[in-house]
This record gives sequence, C-alpha cells and structure tokens, in this order.
Amino acid sequence: MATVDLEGLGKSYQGGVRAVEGVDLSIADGEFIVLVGPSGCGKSTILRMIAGLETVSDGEVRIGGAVVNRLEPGERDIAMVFQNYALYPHMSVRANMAYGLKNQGTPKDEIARRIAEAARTLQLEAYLDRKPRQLSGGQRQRVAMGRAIVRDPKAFLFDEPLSNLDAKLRSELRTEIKSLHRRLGATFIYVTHDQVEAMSLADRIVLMNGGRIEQIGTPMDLYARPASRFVAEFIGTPPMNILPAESPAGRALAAGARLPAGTEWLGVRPEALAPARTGGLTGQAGLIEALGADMLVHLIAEGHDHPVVLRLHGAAEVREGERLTVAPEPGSLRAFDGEGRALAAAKTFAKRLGAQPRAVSCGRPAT
Amino acid sequence: MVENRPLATFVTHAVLIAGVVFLCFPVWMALVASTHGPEALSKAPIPLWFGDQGWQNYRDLLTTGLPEAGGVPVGLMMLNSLIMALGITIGKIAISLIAAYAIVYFRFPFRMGFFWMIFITLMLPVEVRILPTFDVITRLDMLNTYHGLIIPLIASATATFLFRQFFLTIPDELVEAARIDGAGPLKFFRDILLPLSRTNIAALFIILFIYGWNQYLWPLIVTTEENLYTVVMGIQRMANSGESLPVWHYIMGTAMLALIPPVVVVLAMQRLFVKGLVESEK
Ligand SMILES: Nc1ncnc2c1ncn2[C@@H]1O[C@H](COP(=O)(O)OP(=O)(O)OP(=O)(O)O)[C@@H](O)[C@H]1O
Ligand SMILES: [Mg+2]
Repeated sequence: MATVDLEGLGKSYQGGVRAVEGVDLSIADGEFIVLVGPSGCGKSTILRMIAGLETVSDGEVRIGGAVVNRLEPGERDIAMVFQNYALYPHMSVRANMAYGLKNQGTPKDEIARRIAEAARTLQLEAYLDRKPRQLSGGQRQRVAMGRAIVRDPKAFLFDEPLSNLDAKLRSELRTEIKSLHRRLGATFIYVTHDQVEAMSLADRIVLMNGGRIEQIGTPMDLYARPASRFVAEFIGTPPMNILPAESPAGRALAAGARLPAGTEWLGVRPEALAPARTGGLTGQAGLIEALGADMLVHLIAEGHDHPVVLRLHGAAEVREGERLTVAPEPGSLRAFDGEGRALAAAKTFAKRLGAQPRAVSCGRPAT
Repeated sequence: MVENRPLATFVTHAVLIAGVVFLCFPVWMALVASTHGPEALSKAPIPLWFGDQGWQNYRDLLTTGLPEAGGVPVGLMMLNSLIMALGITIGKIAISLIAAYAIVYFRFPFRMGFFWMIFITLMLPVEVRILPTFDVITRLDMLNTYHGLIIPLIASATATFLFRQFFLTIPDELVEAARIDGAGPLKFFRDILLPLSRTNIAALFIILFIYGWNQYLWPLIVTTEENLYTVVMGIQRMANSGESLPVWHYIMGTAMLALIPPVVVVLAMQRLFVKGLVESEK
C-alpha cells in the first residue's frame, strides 16, 4: 500500500502522437481512483506508465514517494488486471497465482497460504487445479484478480477489467471489486470508459479528455459541479441538457435567473427539470422512455433542435404530443462560457417559480 | 453423408481400401522381399508372401559388416543417421526458437534487416550453397565428424519464420502480465513461451527429423570414413554395387529398418501434437 504521484506526466508515441499531456495527480494511500474518459483519451497510457509497461516521456511517476520511472514493472511492486484476463493458458489457476510470488522467491508454504486465502476471498477454491480455458469469463477475471491479490502489491491497477463480461456479471464483479478494496484498504487505480462503473466505484474520479485531465473530484462533485461542458455531457445518463443561452429556448429556460457574465451555454440535468405552471421552457413531449422507476421525456422545445430530456417519476402521466412547460429547480442551472468552461452557478430567483417541489409537481393524479 | 445407401457406402469403402492398398503395396513388397534369399527377387514370379530368410537377413544386417555396404553393420549406420537427424532437429528447433524470440520480442538495430536476411536464406537450399559450405567445413577441419554432418544443416529459416508467426499471435498482455509478475526475458522464454510453443515444436520435430534422416547429398560429401556412413547412404551404396547383382533382400531389409525411427518419431510426437491442438485455446 502506498501513495502514487504523477507529476507533469506526458507521453509521446513514435510518430509524434501525443497521448498524454501534463498530468498531475496525487493518489492517497488506500484511495480508489477511477480514470474515465472517451476512447483514445490516454487512460490506458497513464495506467501503463504507472505499471512501467510504457516508458515515461515527460514528468515523474512516484510510488510510495520513490521515483520509479526507470524501474522494470516487476520491480515496482504493483499488480495489474487486464481486460482480456491475460492468464497464462498453460498453467493451472494455482500456478497462475503462484507465478509472480515464485519469481520473487517467496517460500513455498507462504505461497500456498496466500493462494488459499485469495481463493477463499474470491470463491475460487473449487477451480484451483483447472486451466484458464476451463473457466468462464467471470471466473477468469477473478483468477486475474487473485493473481494480483496474492502479490500484496503497493497498488492495484485495473484496465477495463469488466469490459468483456455481460451486464449482470459486470455489476456483480463491480460490487466484488468495491468490497475487495474495502477489505484490502489498498490503493486502486482503475481505468474504464463506463461512467456508471466510475461513479459507483471511485473515491475520486479523474476525467480525461484528449490526453489531459478535465476534472478531478468525487463522483458527486463531477455530477453536480462539472468543470466544463465536456464533463457535464460525459457524466450522467442521459447527459446534462445543454442549450445556447441566447436562443429562445435558452432564454425561456433561464427566465428570471441572473446569468454570470460571459455565459454562452446553459446546462441542466434531466432530473432538475420539473413541470411548472408558468415560466420556463415550453414544448411538446416527443419520445417517452419508460424505465420503470422513472421515465425520460424528450421535450421538443420551440426554437431548439435537440430534444431537451427530462426525467420524471415513473408514474407521471405524460403522453406523447402533450404540451409541457418545465422549469429548472432552484440552483440547478449551470452556465458555461464559449470555451465550455463552467462559470459560477447561475443564481435562480427563488420567488419566480410556480415550480413546487418535484415530487408533487410530477403530474401525479391530484389527490 | 448420413444417408443410408448401401451401394454408396460400398463404393466409398471400395475406393478408400483400394487407395490404402495402393499406398501400402510398395512397403509390403519391401517387407516381403527382405525375408527372402538373394535369388528370389531376381526371378520371374516375385514373391508376395514372406520367405523363411527374414531372421537371418536382419541378423546379418544389424550385426555383421556387409561388404556391399562398405563393411559397416546397418546398426552403426542407423546410429549415425539417428545422431545426425536428432542433431539437426534439435539444433534447428533450438536455434530458430531463439532467433524468432529475438526478432519478435527485442528491439535492436536492423531488426527487420536481420529478419529479411533470414527470410531470404529460405531461397537457398543446401544444394545451392553446397560448394561454399563444403569449403568452410574443410577449412574448419570438420570433415568426417558428427558436427561436420550436423552444423551446416542446423539453421532453418522456415522454422524461424514459423515460430515468429506463432509468437506474433501471443497476446501482448501475456508478455506484460509476465513482466509485472517479475519474469525477465529468460524466465518468460522458459516459463511461458516454450510451453506455449509445445504443439509447434512437436509438429516441427516430425518434419525436421524426417528431413534430417533423409539427408543424402551432404553426408555423402563430408564423410569419407565408412563408420560415419548414414543409412540412406548405405542403401544407395548397396543398390549401386557395380558389377555384382544388387543384394535386394539386404537393400529392402535396410529400407525397412530405416523406416522405423521416423515412424516412432511420428507416433510419439503425434500424441503430443494432438494433445496440444485439443488443449489450445478455442
Ligand atoms: N503504441 C502506440 N503507438 C502510437 N500511438 C498509440 C499507441 N498506443 C496508444 N496510442 C495512441 O494514444 C492515444 C491514447 O491511447 P490509450 O490506449 O491510452 O487510450 P484509452 O483512453 O485507453 O482508450 P480506450 O478506452 O479505447 O482503451 C490514442 O490516440 C492512441 O491512438
Ligand atoms: Mg484503454
């Protein structure tokens, strides 16, 4: 267990591809950090530089305070779990887990003890003598995790470990990874492009965009206070609605709100929009996605070509084609400047709204 | 083919059996011939069934030095062939494994240049480069030695190329996992690459052993001493015994004996080979 620090980290691949640029990040001991971002934004590259699988072009990687830039992966005392498991196909599960320890010269009985413990934790006891090909995808990934655990490394690195699994298994293993982190109390660095994974696992999320860090913060920070349009649109399903501030729709949405100077774009989360009697944005309900607990209504607002999505209670009575007027909840409006950077939150006039608390206003049959 | 049509089944089987008989007939003839006396094969109705000389013929072949074969027992020639074939096979496999490992996993200057150089030698079989090779071997004083028989044939572009192609199919993650597990280049080679190449090694072993066993031209050139003769050379010498009648019963007996090691290798390796195929991922 140790801290991991990245300082001015940069990576140029051959041919001049600049994959990572000026990444500064201090990861505390025992922290669960998730690197998230769209494909090709350099998440894997950062992880691989920490692991020592890629050379560092600029900056420093420190593990436990010591610079490891020039160390071999095997000397860094880290463990890594790969997307496609990367188990040694010719070795049994037991041998797979033992291999790293054997290379370190760990005594036999100590190896056996650690494997037994990891197998118990991961419910792999019945499979210890099987070959990887005789296991399901989920079991293989658990073996890969076991191979990492037995090493008792300073940091665990995961590169999209759940991407090859089906949805159910993915959420199962997600919980397993989370509880593993809690039990081991070790430093976890986890790469994914799945924001649900990022939100549910991370102590802090590092959101990457084009090789740079876009925002670092707790999941709720990123969700509630996105530093940029990019973050606002990346985090959350469906993403935050973004409207040009000067369009009719934007003006309607911001009616009564004092916008910070330089506001070009307005953002509002789907669940922060609620039907209101007066003011706000008026449009026609288009596509309606009933998700059970709640429903997504795609509102075709006048003067705005993208539908504005709002999330209503699952029991709300809205029909396609119905005219709706919606207003943002107080304090929920986000303002972004021309470059997409967040400005201080738009102040909403409390007095204006006919908007009542959302649960009441969701169009439930009046009682 | 699941239809139940007796006539079709019959015809299919007849054709297949005819094929088998056709292929096996020469071997059968050789086996039969090796059990007769020297005259039986020179006379008109060639025997199709075993004679009574078999025991005698084979004992002569294996133990006594036949003048027709240069005075060395076939047993010794078989041993020479075996040493040469094994030397060539093991040497070729070892060298091409290492060469392919270097080319695939290490970044050194002119890496692709070396690869293409190796690749180009594919186009130069022993026969083409025999004079310069002979010259080198003579200068190195390796005539009439086992290593003179083996070393010139030991490099194999084909095997290097095959191993290279196989190594390229091994996922990078496996290499990376091994690096993280603290395996250096040698450990990775020994613990991961070699076991994964088992099937390929077995298949190549068969091909290369037969290649080595059947070498004729090179041994003929570098050996002048009878006790280094290989069995293929022995057969040839017996068949071209000049004035006197060819000793067909001995020739056929030697041919039968010369069949045994390759067959043993095929059977042994095939088991490994099939096991590897069944075991390999998906
Ligand atoms: N070996 C390489 N040589 C050249 N460019 C590379 C190499 N590996 C990655 N890149 C480039 O670096 C950038 C970042 O790649 P990286 O693999 O880190 O992305 P990622 O965020 O992990 O994406 P994904 O979610 O698709 O895995 C990409 O533009 C990619 O094309
Ligand atoms: Mg990646």
